Amino acid sequence: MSAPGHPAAGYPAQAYPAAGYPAHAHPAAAYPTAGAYPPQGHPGASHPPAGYPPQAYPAAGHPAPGYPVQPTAGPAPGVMSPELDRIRTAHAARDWPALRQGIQALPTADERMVACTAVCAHGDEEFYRSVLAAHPQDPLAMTLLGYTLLVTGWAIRGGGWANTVSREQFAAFQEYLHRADAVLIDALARQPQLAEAWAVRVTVARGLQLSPAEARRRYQQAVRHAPHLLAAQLSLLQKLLPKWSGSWEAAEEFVRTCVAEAPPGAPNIVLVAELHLERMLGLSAAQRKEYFARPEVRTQILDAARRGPLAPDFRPGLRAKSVYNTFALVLALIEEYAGAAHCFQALAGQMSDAPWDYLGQPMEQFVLYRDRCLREARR
Amino acid sequence: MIRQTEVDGIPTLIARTDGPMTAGLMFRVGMADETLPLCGITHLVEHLALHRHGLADYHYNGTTSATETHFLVQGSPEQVVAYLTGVCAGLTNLPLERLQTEKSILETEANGRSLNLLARVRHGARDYGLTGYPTWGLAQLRPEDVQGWASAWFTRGNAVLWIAGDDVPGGLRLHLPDGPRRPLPVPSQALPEGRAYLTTQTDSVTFDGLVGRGAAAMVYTEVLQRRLFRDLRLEGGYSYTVATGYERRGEHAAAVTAMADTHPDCYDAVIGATVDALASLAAGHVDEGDIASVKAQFRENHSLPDADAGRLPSMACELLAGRPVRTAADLLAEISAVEPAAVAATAARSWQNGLLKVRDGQEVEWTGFTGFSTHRAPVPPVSGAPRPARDDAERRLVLGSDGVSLQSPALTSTVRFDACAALLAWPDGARQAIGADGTTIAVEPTRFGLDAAAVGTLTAGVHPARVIWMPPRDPGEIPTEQSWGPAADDGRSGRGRGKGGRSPVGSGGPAGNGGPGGYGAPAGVRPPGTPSLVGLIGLYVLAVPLSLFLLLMTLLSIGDPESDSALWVALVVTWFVPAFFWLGIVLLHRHRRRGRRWAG
Repeated sequence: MSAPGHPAAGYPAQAYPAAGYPAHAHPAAAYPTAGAYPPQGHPGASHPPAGYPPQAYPAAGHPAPGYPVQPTAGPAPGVMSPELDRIRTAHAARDWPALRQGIQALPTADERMVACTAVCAHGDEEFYRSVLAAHPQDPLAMTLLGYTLLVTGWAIRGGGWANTVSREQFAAFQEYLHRADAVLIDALARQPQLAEAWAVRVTVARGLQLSPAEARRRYQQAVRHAPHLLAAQLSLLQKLLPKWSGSWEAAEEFVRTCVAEAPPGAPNIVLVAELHLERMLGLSAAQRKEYFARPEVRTQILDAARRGPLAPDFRPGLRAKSVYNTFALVLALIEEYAGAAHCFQALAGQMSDAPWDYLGQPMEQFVLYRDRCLREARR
Repeated sequence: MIRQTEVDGIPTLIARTDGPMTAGLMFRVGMADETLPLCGITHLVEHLALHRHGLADYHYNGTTSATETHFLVQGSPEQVVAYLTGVCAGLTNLPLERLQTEKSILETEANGRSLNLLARVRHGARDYGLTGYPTWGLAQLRPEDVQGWASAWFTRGNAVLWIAGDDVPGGLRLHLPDGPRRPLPVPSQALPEGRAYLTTQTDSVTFDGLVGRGAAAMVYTEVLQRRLFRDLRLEGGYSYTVATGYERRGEHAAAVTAMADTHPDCYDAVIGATVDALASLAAGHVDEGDIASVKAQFRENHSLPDADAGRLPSMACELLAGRPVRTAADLLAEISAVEPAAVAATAARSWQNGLLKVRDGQEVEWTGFTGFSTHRAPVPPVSGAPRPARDDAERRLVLGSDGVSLQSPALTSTVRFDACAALLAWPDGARQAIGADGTTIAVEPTRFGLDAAAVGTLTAGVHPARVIWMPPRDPGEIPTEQSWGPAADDGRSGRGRGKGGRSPVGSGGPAGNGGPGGYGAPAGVRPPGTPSLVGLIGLYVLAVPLSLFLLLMTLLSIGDPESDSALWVALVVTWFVPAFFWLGIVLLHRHRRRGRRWAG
């Protein structure tokens, strides 16, 4: 399998089998960290919420051949997660009690969402169906099945703009989303306070192109039961963007509110960086340079970084990897190399596809930016 | 305290009231007892029976519901006697000379009545489903049909009288023919178990679930109202009105309905919140505080001074249905005994067979509800030679000896003659077969290439009593073969391929072959000759100046004594040119007018 294309560049959509991709046959299964990135913004009209296309190159944590890894003091807390590794192992072993226990043991709903995202990335519908057959009342199993259906459907759709999606792809995509939402409705009927299921339904609402009112209703239910749930905020932010028939004003207002209300040290500050990256997508190379040179943009990103990865009390939890990756890029873009180098060092080589896939081949971009930032920072 | 007695053999319920005397004579007959061709006959009898009352100086009224017809009055004891005596006299001797007039009045009244499409989808074109159908057969009802219906159903045995007052007013006699008490119709099921939706022209979202009747269902109805009010209005702010209702369906069942209005921008949020609330109640998340408040509300209502008098009509219903009359204490005891688990079980039942009514074009498959027409239990198709539609080769009509089928890639619908509720027949040959399960097949002869003999075979297959002759259609509304031709679907219309052809039945008519849940009119065929507008303008540009010029020349020639005959000949010949232009204009105008009728 070749490396996935940049969806915005008009690469063909991922051709996943329609149903029940067997995990052991999945190329990404050999690299457990692949596809572990949480749902985030994406250049295309639609970001697969989790099922990021499997990578052909060694995934995060493995040094790319030919690129020496900078010696660092080791990853920051949360970047490498033994909890997440145990959850992945349990999933790979089809050990439902261990998988369930591992997810439930995580302290916050957002961290549980990171774990759900990691184990739903493989389109493993059959496994969750078999779990539900044995535990028909289990809301977590329903949530994971719903999430998996969403990911599988989105993989059929592909990550490109709407005009790159064929009629058949779109019909299959919608059908998967219908099934996903129906099973999530069932999960929430049993456990209405299951914020993870509400967060997944925010993304389903986006895929189904439901009205902003319905997407926001789902979001409000999610944060009602899990205040500041970043997974839900990242998903609703996408819905509010112009590419999903929203507006920059609505998206900015939303990010301002979320960030203002988030507790100190929380990873929600990454929303600021996400929004600037979304702004970047519609711009040419020259415009991007101009955009990130604007004093107000620099100030916003720097302020966010100082409340985020550069703050001594920053506690991103399992969001650490994605947040450091994102801030590494935006700090590099505003040429704040010391800050970017700090993020790269915190990562200790643990890259995620996003946001590097915004710029091209993720691994290449990661290494390119990292080497440059570390070099500049040493000056 | 409700007291029971009898007046001329008719069971009578009496309760004291502080207000003026009120009384009602109720019969166990309503729309659910009719058939589709007879739809409206009970209402017609009710109107005729009241006609002789004219403009009385006391309050009276008549109502016809699915299962009861009710004549009620308020006034002095003498006025009550006069009214009830008059109603009985009217029923035994209907003023049939008024038949035509009352039919017109009913048709006017029907235009304002909203059809219960959810009942129609749930039960089909029979019993309780008939509340969802127009009264197509009204026009062909004969005087003997109407009087026969009155004599069969408006009988002493099938009536209950209630009086809110001190006693039976002196001199009250109720002369009615003898007849048996009629049991409640058994509700038919047109849909298999499962959730389904239908779309129609509406601004609100309506849910309907069929549950076991009784106190638990009544409590659930009120609990659902509180829950939806909280979720949709107080929290979401999507809706202004949130209403629920409880309606008896036969001996053992009741329909619980919920309706919420909304702003178009919030429409799918109302669907989402409604579905989530229903699912959550069904999963057992019933707020005990809500149950307590519902019970308190019942207690309060039943302790009002006139509570017994207020309960008389519903107790008359119960008595007609063969149930004992219960005291207020009995009712309250039943309500008080309702446990949360019973409410949750009722909620779960309504969720299992729930129906949703949403606006046209609304996507709702994500709720797990499926379009009702694909959800219906399939009827075995009839055999015969398939006739493809002119406008859509994948849509084929099969006329068999035992029924009619319409095949399309997504769905094959069949109406068998032995299960045909009615066949609507237009003089121009159009037919619409309506199965007992509500399946509707529209047959336009020109669309499927049917000749008069084929239409005749179809008509003859249906029992004559089930054929409803419809008034002639406006000639412009009758499609010709060209209307269905390829030229009518060249892709310029933007309305896509006509799905089911234009339903010959106007508003309220079942389109049948629309989307999976569609009750809206299917896309019509494209108006023929739309591009003729350019030609029309061109003709006007040529014809008007030329005509004016020739008119001027003619007038000048008339005024000029020297004009010779050669000039006159030339003038007359030249006049032919604008005359041709005008002829073209007239023809194009007629062509376009017909096109507009199609488009409309």
